[in-house]
Amino acid sequence: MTDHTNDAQSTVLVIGGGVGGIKAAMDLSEARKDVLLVDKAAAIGGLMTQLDRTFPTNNCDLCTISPHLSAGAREQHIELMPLTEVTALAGDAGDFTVTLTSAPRYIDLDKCTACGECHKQYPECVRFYPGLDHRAPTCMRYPQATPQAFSIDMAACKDVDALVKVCPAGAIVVDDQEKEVTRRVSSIILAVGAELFDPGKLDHFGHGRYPNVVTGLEYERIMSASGPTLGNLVRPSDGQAPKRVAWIQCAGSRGINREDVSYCSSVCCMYALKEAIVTKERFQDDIETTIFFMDMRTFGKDYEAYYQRAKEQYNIRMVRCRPHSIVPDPGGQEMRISYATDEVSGMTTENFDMVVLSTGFRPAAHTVQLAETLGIALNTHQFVQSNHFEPVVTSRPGIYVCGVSEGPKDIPETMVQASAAACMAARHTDKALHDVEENDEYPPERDVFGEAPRIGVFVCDCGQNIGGAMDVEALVQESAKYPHVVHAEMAGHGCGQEALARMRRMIEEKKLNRVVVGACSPRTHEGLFQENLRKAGLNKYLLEIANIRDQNAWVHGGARELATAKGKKLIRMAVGAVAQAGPLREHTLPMNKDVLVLGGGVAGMNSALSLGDQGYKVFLAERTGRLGGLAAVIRRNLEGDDVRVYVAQLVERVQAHDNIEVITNAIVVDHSGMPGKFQTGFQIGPRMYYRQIEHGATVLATGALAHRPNQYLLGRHKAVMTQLDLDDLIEAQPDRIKDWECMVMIQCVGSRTAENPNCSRICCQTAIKNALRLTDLNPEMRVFVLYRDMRTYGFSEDAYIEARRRGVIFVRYEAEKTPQVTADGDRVTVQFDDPILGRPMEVSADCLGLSTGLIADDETTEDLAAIFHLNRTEDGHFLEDHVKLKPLDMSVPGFFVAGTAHSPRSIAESIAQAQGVAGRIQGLLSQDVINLGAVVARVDRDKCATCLVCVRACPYNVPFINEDRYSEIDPAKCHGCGTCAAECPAKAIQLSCFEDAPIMAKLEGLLERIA
Amino acid sequence: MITAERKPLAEIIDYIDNCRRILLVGCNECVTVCAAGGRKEVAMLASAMQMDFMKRGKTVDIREMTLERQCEPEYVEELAPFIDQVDAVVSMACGCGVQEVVRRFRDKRVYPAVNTQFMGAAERPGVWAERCHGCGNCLLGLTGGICPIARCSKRLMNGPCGGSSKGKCEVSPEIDCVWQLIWDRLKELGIEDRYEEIILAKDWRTERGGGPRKIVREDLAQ
Repeated sequence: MTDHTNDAQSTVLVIGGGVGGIKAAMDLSEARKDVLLVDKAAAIGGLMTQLDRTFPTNNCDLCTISPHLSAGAREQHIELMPLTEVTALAGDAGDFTVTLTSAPRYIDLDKCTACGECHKQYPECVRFYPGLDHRAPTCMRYPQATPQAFSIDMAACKDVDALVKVCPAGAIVVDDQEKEVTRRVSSIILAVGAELFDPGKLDHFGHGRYPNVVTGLEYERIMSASGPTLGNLVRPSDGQAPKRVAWIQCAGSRGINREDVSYCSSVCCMYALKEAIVTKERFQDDIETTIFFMDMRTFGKDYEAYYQRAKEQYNIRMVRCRPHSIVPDPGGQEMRISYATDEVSGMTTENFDMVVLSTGFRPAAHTVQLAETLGIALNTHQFVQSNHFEPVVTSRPGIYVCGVSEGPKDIPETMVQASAAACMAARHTDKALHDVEENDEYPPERDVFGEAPRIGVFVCDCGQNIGGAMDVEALVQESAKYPHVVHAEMAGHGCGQEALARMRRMIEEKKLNRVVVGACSPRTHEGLFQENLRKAGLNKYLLEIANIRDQNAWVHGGARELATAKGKKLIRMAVGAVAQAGPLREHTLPMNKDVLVLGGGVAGMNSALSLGDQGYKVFLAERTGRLGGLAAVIRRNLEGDDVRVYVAQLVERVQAHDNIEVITNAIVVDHSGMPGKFQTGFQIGPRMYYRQIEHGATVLATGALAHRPNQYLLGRHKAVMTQLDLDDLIEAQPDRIKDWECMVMIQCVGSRTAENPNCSRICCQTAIKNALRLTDLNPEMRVFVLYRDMRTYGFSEDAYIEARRRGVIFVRYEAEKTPQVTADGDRVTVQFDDPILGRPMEVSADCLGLSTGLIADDETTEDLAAIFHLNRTEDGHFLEDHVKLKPLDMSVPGFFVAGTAHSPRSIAESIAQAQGVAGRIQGLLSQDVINLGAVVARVDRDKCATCLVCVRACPYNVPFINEDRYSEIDPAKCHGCGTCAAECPAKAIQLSCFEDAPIMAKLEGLLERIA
Repeated sequence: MITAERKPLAEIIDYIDNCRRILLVGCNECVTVCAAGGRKEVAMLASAMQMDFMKRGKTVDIREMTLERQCEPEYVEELAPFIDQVDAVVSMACGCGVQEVVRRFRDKRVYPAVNTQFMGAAERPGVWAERCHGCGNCLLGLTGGICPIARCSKRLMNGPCGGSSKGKCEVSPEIDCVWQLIWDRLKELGIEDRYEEIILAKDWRTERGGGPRKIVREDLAQ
């Protein structure tokens, strides 16, 4: 019974294995919390695995995510249950009992090696997911699928016996049943994402009827190297390369018609731009790309620059219009679109080879069902209900939400919420449980120093995967003859549990001290075999893998003899290399578990509280004399909550918290160290004494500045104010405002300009927030909003609709022709062009509200970036490590960023980042020691010529000439990049794991020894 | 630092084409630092020589060694155990190193693999420039610390000449006019009146005019 209690106290259930679910699971696992990850699909990965490229870097999507997938499966704290759904839930936060129902896979995961024989011979029996890829049905959608195993559709199988025989691993389980288990978990994270809208429901676009009308996702599949056309861009109707491609934005979104939803899906503008840019990158002038849009919503960090590049560098044509329908051209395969623009009167008709519908997110029907099962509330759009100040908390305690299930959002925001949810969910688990040293389960490492190499060679045939292309038996016989080889054998499916156990037995019986595995890629399997060596008592660096699958079987399928000869050479190379390899020690240091949070605004305080609640000691350093930051001067958010009350409560909690030490008037002056062992020095006012703080991780939550550009009489006329001033005025002097007859707001003041090219993200919402409050006070007030693109993403679109319903007048202006403002006594006169009427307008306003947004606190971020060696964006915000997958980590390990120091964002988004940072730090600090890895550069002091080449070449400034007059490289700081080893003219530097001797031995194995 | 550049492979091969066993000796001092003859260059030249021999159907056995300083007899002595096993020595040290090997091993052919260049400094990684000519009577105290002998194409003692244009030397636009540099420096230091002082004709006997030079420190010489 004790076991069960433990189970309940330590396990977090993560529902949904998309990027968000995987991220949450990985963060929890890093923090040494047990995770049960369930997904209703046969493989984890969700929507992201179907994309081709990711904005804004245009990197390959699969390359970006797949290491996370396999890592997700390997993590020792993650238990993965594919094909599984939650069917019942009982209990309360801290002790839930959950019922899980798993559909039969008809495949034994321990035995399946994903050799693909079943799929090759009986493709109809292999399960696949419709809508994804109708031309190449396969259940293993891409080579990196996790778990890497097929699944069988028994209903489609006519000859079960024959199918079973086809499997060389004997992995097919004919009588597999639906299984139901109950498990006790402490908390739950919901990360089920959403579906993409099926535009077939809209008859005017003809999706489903006309093959050349595809959705954005289908276009990604066509562009994807793992897609049905292997990445060749062709028109579905006839396989011809398209010359003209059009995108139609908001297909099914921001609408009022049947099947439309009112909200904005937030990501479609960016993905359409990305698809168009990637198309242009690949085909340049051969393809014309056109995007039909209403408002271009590139509101994310540096996304506006991406939009500008799309227009200017890639010549992507932007047409501001929402076309009504797509009709086939009677003449042929082309599709015809008629549209109207401001510039031309009447309709313009154009033909396109392909039309891409930018469809958005819809909550899946089963999500609604799941919400009922879990007893959590949904919002009016059927997404999971959350709270502005608690963005990942659902209506039921102990259940958290992240990603698109909470509302439309892009991958970085999903990752942020996932880390936040991991942080929140971990609160319900028992901390003390995992303080056991995990390596205890391994036997002590055998000391092989001084022993002559005794190499064991294990060669997989992997069913037909390797054995089909070469003579594995011959490889084994040949390898037995190589120097130092004392044992060689066929390993069958070497990565299977049985084969791994046999390998360990052989290591012991034959006293092997080095191992070569002839197998597939070390990319996917090195960790597995290394761990196996470690289990057998050998240092894990005494392994070498000969990649005879990817590098031989896959590329020489039709030439058995030659492939066998090459296989022999690959193994001889590995044998030569491993003979030269030695055991390596991974360097460690004790971990300091205190955290320094810089910045006492909403983000900093939330990070501090989340970490303090988890038992970490937090130093909260604020540059000014008070806590609260920018939010302290905000009165209401878009939802109408009282921000001041919230901030006051936060400040009170922070100041009363036992684990949080608040240091005000603190300015950072120096810094050194590494993750788990930082020292940061402060000058602390008012007397400016010096204090050094030791800490293990650092959070940058230093905020941003409210922009006050010298434009439109701001600061020179009392009727002109920023939205922030207006927000305060509405609260402070409602009686005065009541009498206003006319209000004008100008958007993008000081943003999206040459000086400050980025979008401030929040100003559109803020303008609408204030417009609604003004019309609350005086429904007769005339409110004009002069805008460039209304960027009310997600559910804030509802507020935009409400504002229009109330009669707020939105008039678009062009960047080239900004409104003109002149003083007129107590009032101001605003002149602007109405693009619909096509004529100038003049409005006399009681008040002019400028949407000025946020700008980076350039001075602060510049100083901190210099002291901490951090990267910044061009506009002075901190630059995260990876815009997509690591939006909270900085490129310097141990540093994290939250709030508006990252980019302009709302309070809710800042809080999610703050909590997400706490989740990331929890993982970093859960270890008691800092593992520095084994790949570090080492200097041979006798060879060093103190030439300074390494000192100059190191990108991280690690080597220095020490007192003993040779170059010293601190393993604690070395990143293992190898630049110094390559440059050293005295060959005094070797990079562990990549020493010259094994590499030369490898080459000698490949080539005849020269001389 | 003494700088050097590796000779073309063909020239080196020419010297040793009839040898079968070679001792290839680098130096861990100046030529390592200027990337001409350190351990890495030794390994690369050895590979290149072997490939060249193999391409012509011949073989050569090369032993690679790199001495701490090839211009010191104690370090050169480290070659002694191997010297009888080779037909020739190829040295990647400066001329000093080559000759020190020659002095020790009278009966062995020794060939240079680098062209020794000049005494210079690293202007930036990968770029070395001449700074000192070793004239034996340093003038830097008169010229703002910038040497007109090493760095003026004409070694003018009182420059510049008429070929100085926009701070560059007429020999090449890549070469700074050192007298411009000297003038700028004197001005920076606020001692431009020094420029007016004529430097008298130099006594070149301390350079090569007096024949090969030698330093004898009586207190140290054994």
